[in-house]
Amino acid sequence: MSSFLEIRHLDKSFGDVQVLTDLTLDLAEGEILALLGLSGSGKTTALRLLAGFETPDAGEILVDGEDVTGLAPARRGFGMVFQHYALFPHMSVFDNVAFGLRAQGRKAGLGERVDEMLELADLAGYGGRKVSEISGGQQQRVALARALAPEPRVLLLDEPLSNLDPALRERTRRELVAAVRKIGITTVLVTHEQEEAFHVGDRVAVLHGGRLEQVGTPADLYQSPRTRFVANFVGRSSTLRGFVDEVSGGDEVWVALGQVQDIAVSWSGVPAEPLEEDQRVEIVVKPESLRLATSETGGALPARVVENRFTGPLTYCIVRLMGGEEIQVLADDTRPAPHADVFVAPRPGGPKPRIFRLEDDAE
Amino acid sequence: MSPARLGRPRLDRPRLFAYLVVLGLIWLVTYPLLLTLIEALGGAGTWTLGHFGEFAGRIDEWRALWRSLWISVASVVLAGLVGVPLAFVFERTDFPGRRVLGALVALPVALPPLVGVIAFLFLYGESGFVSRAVQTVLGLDQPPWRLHGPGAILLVHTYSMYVYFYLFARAALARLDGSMLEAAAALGAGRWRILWRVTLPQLKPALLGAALLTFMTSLGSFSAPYIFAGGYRVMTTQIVASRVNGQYALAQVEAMVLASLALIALWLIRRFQGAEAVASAHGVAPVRRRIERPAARWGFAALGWGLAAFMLLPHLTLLLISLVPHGTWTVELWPPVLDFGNYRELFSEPERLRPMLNSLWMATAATAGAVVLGLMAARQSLRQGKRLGGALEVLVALPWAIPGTVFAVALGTAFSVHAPWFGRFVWIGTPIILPLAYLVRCLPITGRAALAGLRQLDPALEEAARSLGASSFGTLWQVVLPLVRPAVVAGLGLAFITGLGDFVTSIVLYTFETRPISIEIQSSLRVQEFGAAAAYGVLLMLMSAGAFLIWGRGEGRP
Repeated sequence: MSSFLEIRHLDKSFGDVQVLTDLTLDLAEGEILALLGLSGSGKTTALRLLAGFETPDAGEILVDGEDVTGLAPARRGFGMVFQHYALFPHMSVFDNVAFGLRAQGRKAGLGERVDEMLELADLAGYGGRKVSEISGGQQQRVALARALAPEPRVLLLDEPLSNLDPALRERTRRELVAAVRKIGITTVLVTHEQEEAFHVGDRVAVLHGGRLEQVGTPADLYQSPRTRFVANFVGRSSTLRGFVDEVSGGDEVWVALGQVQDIAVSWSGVPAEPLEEDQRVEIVVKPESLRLATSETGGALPARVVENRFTGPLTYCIVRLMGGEEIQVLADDTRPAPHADVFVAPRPGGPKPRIFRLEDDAE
Repeated sequence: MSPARLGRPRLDRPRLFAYLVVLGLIWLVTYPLLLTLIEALGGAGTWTLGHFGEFAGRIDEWRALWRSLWISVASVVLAGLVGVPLAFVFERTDFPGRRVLGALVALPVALPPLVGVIAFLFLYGESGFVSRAVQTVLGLDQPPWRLHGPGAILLVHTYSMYVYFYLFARAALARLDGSMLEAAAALGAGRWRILWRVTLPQLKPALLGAALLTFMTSLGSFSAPYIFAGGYRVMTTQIVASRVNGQYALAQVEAMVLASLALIALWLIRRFQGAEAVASAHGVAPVRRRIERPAARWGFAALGWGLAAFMLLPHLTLLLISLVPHGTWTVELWPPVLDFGNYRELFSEPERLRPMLNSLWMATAATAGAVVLGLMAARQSLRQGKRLGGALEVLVALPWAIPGTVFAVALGTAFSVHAPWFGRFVWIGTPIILPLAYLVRCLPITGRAALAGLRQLDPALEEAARSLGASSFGTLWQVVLPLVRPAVVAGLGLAFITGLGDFVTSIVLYTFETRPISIEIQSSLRVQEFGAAAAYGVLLMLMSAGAFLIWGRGEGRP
């Protein structure tokens, strides 16, 4: 895979606060990369460095082999869709979309290009409208059309859907992906929503505390999280602590979690890093890896039901273990009432929990 | 190595430009004040506290200082007593004609101070309309009163400055969260308790803001003391008198003392304001209480219209006087002859037209300069870091806190010496000095307006334009300026009015060739040509009102 957009060792701090540390990412031409992280993770700063609104303290940004690190935003040829769209309120939809073309000094074919973009954004016939006269979803599409009109080399999307209400978001997201795919433009999307990142991104880069935790396909991140943060962050996860009981081969470890009537209970999982016996570890487990049992079975831990969380298609049962930890379990047809005593056991055939070394000072 | 690896704090072009703007503002705003202080201290090489000693040793000076101070405090109290109740009436009750009257009541703010002063003179002065009427009706030998001294000054101050309290309090009342009042009522508080314990505390920041504005305006007020109280000197008139008598050093000392007083007052009130937590209400404003009882309804309406008439009476009088030919009105109750002679003369005689043209071009040039400079300063102050940005903001706001008379003396001091390497030129007596003085006086208005407009501008809009390939100039011209235009234009209108009607700096710096309307009004008054003075006043009023209607709406004064 040859890189089209290369981000090499970017550092950025504001005053004493280091917001981005050694960020390195490569995008193939036409690839969509989602930068996923909580607020304060550095994802927005990364995007602003790409756009040229901020200058990195160190590092380089290359597009198609050309170093653009020191170029002004206007000379980068990057298109950007802003979180609140930043449509020019004093201009019509047409003039907004034409803005970049006019800045390039393009006169010939300007009208056709704008119409083409409006059509792509499903806004044909809206050119004469004022920006304030169209809906939020339409404004979002104008912002996309405006960013794409000057034929940028790279498209940057800053939380482009966060301003839409949930009902509209899903549909707009599909249209956005379709439009971007149709053009085949290399795209970086910033979002704090996992579902959005997983849907839109070919690959997803998870940022935390200004550092890249992991980059990979959504399936990679879900199935093989490499860090505790990613394991906890992706999907609904619960964590338990225990000791390594047995290391069997390189890819399975048994972790002792507690004792039930003098019999040690151990669950097996996949180690994210080499582990030794008796090591303190954290085991990150997804609700779908667990099941509820009404009677004591092999490897089951006693628990008490806290509440059932109904999400529509699925119900998650929150239970509290004897040690006080709360964990989420995917409930089957049986939904025990709150305060009921139950048992939690690994679900046969469910995804294996990930196991991480617990540093002594880790809380 | 990429340019990004260069050290961070570097003097790039935008920063260099910001420093140039700061330098320009220092030269225009603080440098003249500093030079004045230096000269008041005898000047480099011959330092002396003698002039300050002379000031301190004269009882007149202390008296003037005391008068300035107490008149300003009294003006705040009186303006508050008129303005705040009016705000309650217009914001919290509903009666026929509320909207129109509510706007009319704010009228005095749009008029040059001198116009208000001479209108009062013609109405309530010794030979004024009302005094004449009372004298005739009661058959008195003497006018029933004399519009003179501190009482007259306070009357005019109250009339022209209650608007600050009225506008500030109305805006604060409109922002009040109605559910908070309902909550208080639900907790068992009666109307008075709610007023004292809930409503008024919330108005405090607005009232302090209005008090500050009134105090500073009053401290720098010149027209009213000058016209009504010749011998009763306050600091501003004292400064001008010293200068006219050729006591330049004393005038400089007085100017410095008055400036210090203004800055101390500003600091005190700001400190008081800073301690107030400004609650941001999110709810809906309380509902206006509709006055339902027919008698009360008409009572309110009559009161309102009566008030409006009182507000408009000075201006109507001015209009009437402007129609009285010179020397035709002596003892009669109503002027026997009315025609447009004064206006005809004003437009047909080149020497009478000249002040109009002077005022127009000087105000236009000053406004244009103040808008450009204010915009540049505001933009740089938002784009640069805290220190540089803060310095810019202070420099732009400073002329507001310094009385106009002081600035006039300072500019007169700075620009009466030829020393180009020190940024000093002999501009006094040339057509440059007055527009420059107006510009400095207008700068806080245009700068503040530009700052307000730019603050509301989403920074992402500029970034969007830049990412779409627009140059910095293109971004400024196509995106920033069109979007801040309403705010800037509002500032422009008020700046133009300020320049057009300026009296306080003009009287210090004018020459016969560059005399503006205000100076001509004053000289007409002195030779008893009341009709001509009134005609100038009416025209000034019309031009100001026109500028206010076209440009000035939707933005308050700084």
